[in-house]
Amino acid sequence: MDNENKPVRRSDLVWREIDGEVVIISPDNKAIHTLNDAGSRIWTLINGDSDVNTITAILCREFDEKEEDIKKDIYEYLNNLKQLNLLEE
Amino acid sequence: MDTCEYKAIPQSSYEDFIKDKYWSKNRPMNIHFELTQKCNLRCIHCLFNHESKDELSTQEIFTILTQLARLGVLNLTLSGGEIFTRKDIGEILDFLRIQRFIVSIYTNGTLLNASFIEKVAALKTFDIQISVYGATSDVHDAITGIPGSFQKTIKSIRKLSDARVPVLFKGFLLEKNFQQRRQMIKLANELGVLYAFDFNMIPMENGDIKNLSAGLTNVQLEKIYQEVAEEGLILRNNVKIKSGESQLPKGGGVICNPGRINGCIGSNGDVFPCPILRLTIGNIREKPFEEIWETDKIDPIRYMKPSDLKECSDCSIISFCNRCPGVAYLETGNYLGPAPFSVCSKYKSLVNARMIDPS
Repeated sequence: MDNENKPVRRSDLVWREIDGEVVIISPDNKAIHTLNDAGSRIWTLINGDSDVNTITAILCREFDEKEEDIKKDIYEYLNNLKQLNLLEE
Repeated sequence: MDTCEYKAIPQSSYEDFIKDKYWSKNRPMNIHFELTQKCNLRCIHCLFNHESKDELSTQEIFTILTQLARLGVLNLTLSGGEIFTRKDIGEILDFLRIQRFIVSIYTNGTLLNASFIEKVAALKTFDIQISVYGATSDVHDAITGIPGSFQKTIKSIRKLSDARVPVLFKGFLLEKNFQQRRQMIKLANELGVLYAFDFNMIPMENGDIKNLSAGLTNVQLEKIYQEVAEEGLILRNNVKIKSGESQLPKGGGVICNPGRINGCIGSNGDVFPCPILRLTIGNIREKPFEEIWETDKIDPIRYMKPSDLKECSDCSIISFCNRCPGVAYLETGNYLGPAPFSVCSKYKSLVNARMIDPS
């Protein structure tokens, strides 16, 4: 995944924001997954419109962290979501 | 920024998750949405009279679905009547591909054309539950009142299976199809779909109990209990039945607390605590669902406890009775009391026949 890649959530997943946290449910087996605050914020941004650079810029404005640390965290997280089959191919 | 974290909830922790996020906050999680009361069949045991007055419009349904998703509702059951009698059902299914839920569809399967099957498959529903009332046309059609309905229903089950839609063969046992119970199980197996049988009768929505006479006789009910106990007759294979666990109703005076995480929306927008407890708590045309749900009007139902069941708690068979507040309400207008015709007489008969042991 490169900086200009525009990650997008799997369209058939059911997800809700509950008390500030994203809850994701697979429609086939009703398996439930939850995301923490930072993970939830990224989840709402991976709608296919924003690339990793854009997401990083948004998070840099919202969190007082170094850009490189944020970007590294985003990449690790996206790879994790991809491995869990929560993103579109 | 905290490290981004992803956490899968193991199945063993589902109850804690539901308790924490939904139950403790009375947040609706499961909504049963009756899109219509119209039906093309005339089943002898049905609780509706098939008239659908002031049905919600397409746009009203879209608005409600959007409200439900925003509130956090996860599981949505589309029910009727027969939902495929609605002219806009295709549009509603398309809308649900965008505004997503875990969807179950209840249908008789007779109106499913190729286009509907394609839309249901695209929606990736959790399941589609199809009512079957016999293993042959003569028995099934005598119950639905419509000749040819059996063939259409079975044809739809095959087509849905071919389209890889998860189908549940929902058998309902009545006096008239009791003799075909084993053939129905065989038919479901031949069709290669999961099945679940029910035999609990519900009085009509208006409180009329004339439909109850279509249910299993006490002797037939005793036979079912006997077969399950002695022969291991399996009445459902859609859930894993643990060793030693009964596939028959759990009993224990059942305190289900409807109106906390479960709710129902009727075809005219009336909101109920559950599909059976037809106690209107508001109408979606007058207030958004969220405001209706906030009412304290149904707190006695939400927080119902065994000691509230004054009359039932003195009953000798309360420990294994499968009472339902909704059925009691339909029969007598008191959801805290007994349901003499639908429930009490059946369970007392089972005790008298020693099919269940009151000790």
